[in-house]
Amino acid sequence: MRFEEVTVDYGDGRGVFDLNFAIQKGECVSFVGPSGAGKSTTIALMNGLVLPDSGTVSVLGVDTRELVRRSGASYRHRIGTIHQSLNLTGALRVIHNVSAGRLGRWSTPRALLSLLSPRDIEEVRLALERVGVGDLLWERTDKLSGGQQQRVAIARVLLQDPDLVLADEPVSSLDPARSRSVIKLLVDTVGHTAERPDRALVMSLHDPDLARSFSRRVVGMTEGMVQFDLPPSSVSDDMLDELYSLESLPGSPAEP
Amino acid sequence: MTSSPAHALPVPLRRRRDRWVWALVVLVAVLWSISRAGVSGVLNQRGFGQLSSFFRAAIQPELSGDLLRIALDESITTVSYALLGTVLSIGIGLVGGVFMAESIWSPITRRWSLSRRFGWRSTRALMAIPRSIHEVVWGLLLINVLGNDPWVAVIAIGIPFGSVTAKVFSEFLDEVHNDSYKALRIGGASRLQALLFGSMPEASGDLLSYGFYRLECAIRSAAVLGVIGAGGLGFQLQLSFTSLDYNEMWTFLYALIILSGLADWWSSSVRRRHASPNTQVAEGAGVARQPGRDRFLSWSAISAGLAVPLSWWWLDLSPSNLWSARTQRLFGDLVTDSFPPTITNGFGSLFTASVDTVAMAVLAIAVAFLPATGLAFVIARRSHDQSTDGSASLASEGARFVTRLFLLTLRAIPPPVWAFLTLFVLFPGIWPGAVALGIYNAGVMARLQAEVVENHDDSKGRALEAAGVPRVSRIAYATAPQLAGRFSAIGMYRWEVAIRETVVVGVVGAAGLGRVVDEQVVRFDYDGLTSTLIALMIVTIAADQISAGLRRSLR
Repeated sequence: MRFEEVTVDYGDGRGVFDLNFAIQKGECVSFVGPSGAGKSTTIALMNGLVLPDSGTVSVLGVDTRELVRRSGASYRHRIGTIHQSLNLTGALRVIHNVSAGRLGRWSTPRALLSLLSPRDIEEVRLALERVGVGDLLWERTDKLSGGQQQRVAIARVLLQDPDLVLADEPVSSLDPARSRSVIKLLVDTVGHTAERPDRALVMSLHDPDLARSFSRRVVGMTEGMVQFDLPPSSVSDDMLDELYSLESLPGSPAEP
Repeated sequence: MTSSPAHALPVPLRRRRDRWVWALVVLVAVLWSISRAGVSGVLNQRGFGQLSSFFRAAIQPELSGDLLRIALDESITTVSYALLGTVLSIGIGLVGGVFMAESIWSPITRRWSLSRRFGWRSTRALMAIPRSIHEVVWGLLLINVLGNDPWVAVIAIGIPFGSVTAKVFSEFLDEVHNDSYKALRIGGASRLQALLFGSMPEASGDLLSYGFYRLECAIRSAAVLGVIGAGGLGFQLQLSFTSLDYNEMWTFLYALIILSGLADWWSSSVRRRHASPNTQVAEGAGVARQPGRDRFLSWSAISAGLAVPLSWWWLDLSPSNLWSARTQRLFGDLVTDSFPPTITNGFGSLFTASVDTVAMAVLAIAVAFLPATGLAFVIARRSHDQSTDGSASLASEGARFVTRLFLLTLRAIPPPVWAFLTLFVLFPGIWPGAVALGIYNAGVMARLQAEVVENHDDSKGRALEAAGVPRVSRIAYATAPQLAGRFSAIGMYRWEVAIRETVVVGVVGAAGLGRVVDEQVVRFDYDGLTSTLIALMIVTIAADQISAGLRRSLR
């Protein structure tokens, strides 16, 4: 994946400005920084939810402008995203929400059939067991707790089996202890694993300590710009303090 | 700047001025409609005897075994039409709703290209055409193609209702939070797949609940379609009326009132439970009830589903009739005869009829609005009615029940039957149609307004009540200002519907485009009919736009 002089300007001082970096196969990268630093925009640029105003983003060798076209569906299927608000379908049972990860490979009649009589039940169960909630297969998704839904969302990505996994603030709604275990689960299951050594995992995280403990590369952002891009051992507490204090400087928009 | 509440500027000054302008427009429209309909020489004194003998027959319906048997059979037929018509409309609505949904047209990144926007808008406009033509017109056309076949009523209900349902379902699909649809799209799912897994499951409960509302409407439509010859209770009503047998007529009217009452009850129970599934359990136990597990709702869905094959069997529907050589030939004739459109009696007469249609709808709502508003307050069940003195008095409960029954009667009797009756005492023209539609709409409007009264926040009224302010002043100072906007919105909405319904009373001899439609159908003047239908469509769509604009400014 490669960002070249990428700018997205929302016009109110927010956005990302002149991003240049590359992420290789098998990497595990965290983006850290205060709210409004542009982390979520950066993630959204990677799957095509946001297109750059200028510059180019290429993912898996394809420009994201191509990615969002009809012909880009097969590439989109190779990118798995865990959204900040999970975006599961509450009214569906867990099994359907997990098998939704297969939609890119299923024909529409098959997808319709699966809603009536579920396909690939065993694979879905295996995926759920790997994230520790194998017994929830037949529950309605909106009845689950936040942490359980989080795991269902990870299981969906497991079933999708993509080459690149994006996770936008995956633990924003969890307490610190649970955050740790979810991030560990993410890294262990959908990061690069023994059977998928090429898979890359990109996360945006509010908490820099989590980023330092679990990723191999930490990118610090403020005001839409990259401040540092280092291995975790080289990220000092002073650098983080500075990163998180910048937002209170005059001139930057105040957070509500 | 110091702010004191007493000197604070009223903020929505501009909007209020808008309201006054609209109120003036409405007043002018009503006065203009009255002058158009005329005031002198509209009453036909000689008809009062007939009218009173009709109402006197109400206490003596014909109750012979044979007639009751007919009434029962025809009731089942009417319900079957309504049910199968509704099922057809939901099928059309499901497919059409998907194609009209904004989410299926919108690109992942939300940047619309011009061609996409054009495609979306023209699909929506195209899908609006079937619903701008009333069921009765569809029925009249289908009778000429299919003859005396139960499909006529089923399809005549299914097409326009399907178009409405499609619009509503597309709004449901767009309203459910779009994120899960988008998440699936970005993961490589096709539009249809993403709708199936992302939006449909959330919207399907709303669609089911809406389907029951449509079923209630379909019962009324099925009765109206009977009057034009499609069979069922409406047809029997028409037969009894032509032979001036009022006692027989009342038997069928009572059957219709019972059916309509049951449909109202079923539909409103389903919708209430769907809207707040937690009320029964959550209050005491504090545990959220399982969503979608209401036994009444499951029972309703299952029994409606079981009734579908029964209705099919009862009506003895045969799909082959739809494709028979005769049907194909007649359909071909209808299409070739309809084009190119011609204007039968000159453009002027078509314009006059269009204007009469608008005036009739305005008068209908003007006639209905105030009585309906008053009655809405009588039937509205307010939570604090019980709390003030422990329980509602028997007298007020009784008054409420009688009023509800009265309003049910107003809306259960189909508008063409009201038109037959008004034509006893009013000379043909705009007035009989307006009064007939007004009576019917008063029944519908009072029910909608009562729902508003029941749901509005009455804390201000109660504050005044506590201060000892009498009831009428309380309504004037607290309730009326709060409710005026909502009531006006209901009035506008019913006006929009009334424009469509003018066709229904037109076919029995009132004025307007409906009458022209009827004459042209009888004379097989199909190319003339095409122009009339186009005029009707233009009037309907213009009325929709005006009403939507006004309702927006009231919000």
